[in-house]
Amino acid sequence: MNIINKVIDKSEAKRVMKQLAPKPGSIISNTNFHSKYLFIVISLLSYLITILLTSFVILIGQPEFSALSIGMIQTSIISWVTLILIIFAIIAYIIMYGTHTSIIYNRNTINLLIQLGASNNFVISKIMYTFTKIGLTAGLTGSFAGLITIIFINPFLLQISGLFNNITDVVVVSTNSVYAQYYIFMLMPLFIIVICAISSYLTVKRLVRKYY
Amino acid sequence: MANTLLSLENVYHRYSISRDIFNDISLNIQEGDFYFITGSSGAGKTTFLKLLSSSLKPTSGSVLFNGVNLNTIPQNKLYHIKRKIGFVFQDFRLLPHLTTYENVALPLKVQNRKEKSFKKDVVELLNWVNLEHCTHTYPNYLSGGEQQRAAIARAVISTPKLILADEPTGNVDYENSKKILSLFSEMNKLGTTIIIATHDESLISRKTASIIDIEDNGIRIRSK
Repeated sequence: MNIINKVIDKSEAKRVMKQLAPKPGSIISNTNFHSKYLFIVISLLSYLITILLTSFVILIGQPEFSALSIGMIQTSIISWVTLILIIFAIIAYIIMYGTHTSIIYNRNTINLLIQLGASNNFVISKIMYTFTKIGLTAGLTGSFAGLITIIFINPFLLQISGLFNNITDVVVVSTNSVYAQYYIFMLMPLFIIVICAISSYLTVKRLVRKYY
Repeated sequence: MANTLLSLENVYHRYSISRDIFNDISLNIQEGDFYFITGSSGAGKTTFLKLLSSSLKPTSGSVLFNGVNLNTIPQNKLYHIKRKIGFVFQDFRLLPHLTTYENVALPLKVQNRKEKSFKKDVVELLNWVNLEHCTHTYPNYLSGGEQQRAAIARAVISTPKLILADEPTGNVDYENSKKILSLFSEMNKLGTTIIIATHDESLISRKTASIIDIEDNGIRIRSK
């Protein structure tokens, strides 16, 4: 009997604990599925950009690269920049799509907030905050993963270029590239945050004006 | 003499070409008044409340709140007016991911007020509506009566001039409906104008108040 009582007490305690809020909730719910996937996708894209940009900076500093013809250098720079811009555009599109989905998903909440006297700017700031936070965490995660990867693959990159050169050149170049990858690691999350903030702001402003 | 809080002037509203809801209605509501709105299902009680709360613009005519014509205010500036109106929804509309405390504090949060400035007020109000034991409870764990009282507390917290309640006793038993009516009566004594849409005759019989009957696309007022 005592055992049963203990079990009942425990489950009761669990139920009560579940009812208690662990921390203040955000007004506009961000527990919907898309925020998780947005984080993963943006982290991957941020990782890709970090890798591309850092490897580009490493390769551009190699003596073999400057030995190429001007036409070849221009073409490779243009294709690299285009590729990175495309990835940034994809991030912006994903954030716009996510913002749109979030507004539809939270339509009842937004309607209620407006009925309670929320200004459009209040609603815009709440939604924008959610997506900027996703941009910040995903940007940092992707860049950090990119940095770690580059640190590991850097010797291989240098070995590839070292096939055509002596080992002294490789050491000199690698010192410069180390700084470049840290700069990229610091700047990349900032770029991602700015893109996320601007894309979500433009989308939410347009939709809030349209619907509310 | 009390000031006019709300005025409806030749209000005409229709949903579609074939469906008129209101046809040329005019009404003055003074500060501190208590009204019941009655009418059969689909007569337009909720639409009437929406017109009063500026959630809906009439097809023609004007709705004036404190002398300000709501039709002339741009949609993005209406929040100034909405902050002076407390609305109790038929289906409560408590946000499920927020606790009772957070739900009640919501009208103050949307006004960007600091939590420090209102925390005590929210706790006191929760005591007043006998929900002190549910402060950190999510709405899904509250009973119908508790949810209704939380919705009323949310409507009252920002000390609005006008409270509109849509079937506030529609989902609760007799005892809870008595409690809810006494809450509204107490708020009315403090000077708040109360308008309750209901089809609950027992609720109407328990309180001396003017009644707005909605019928045949118009209104008929029965004074207290």
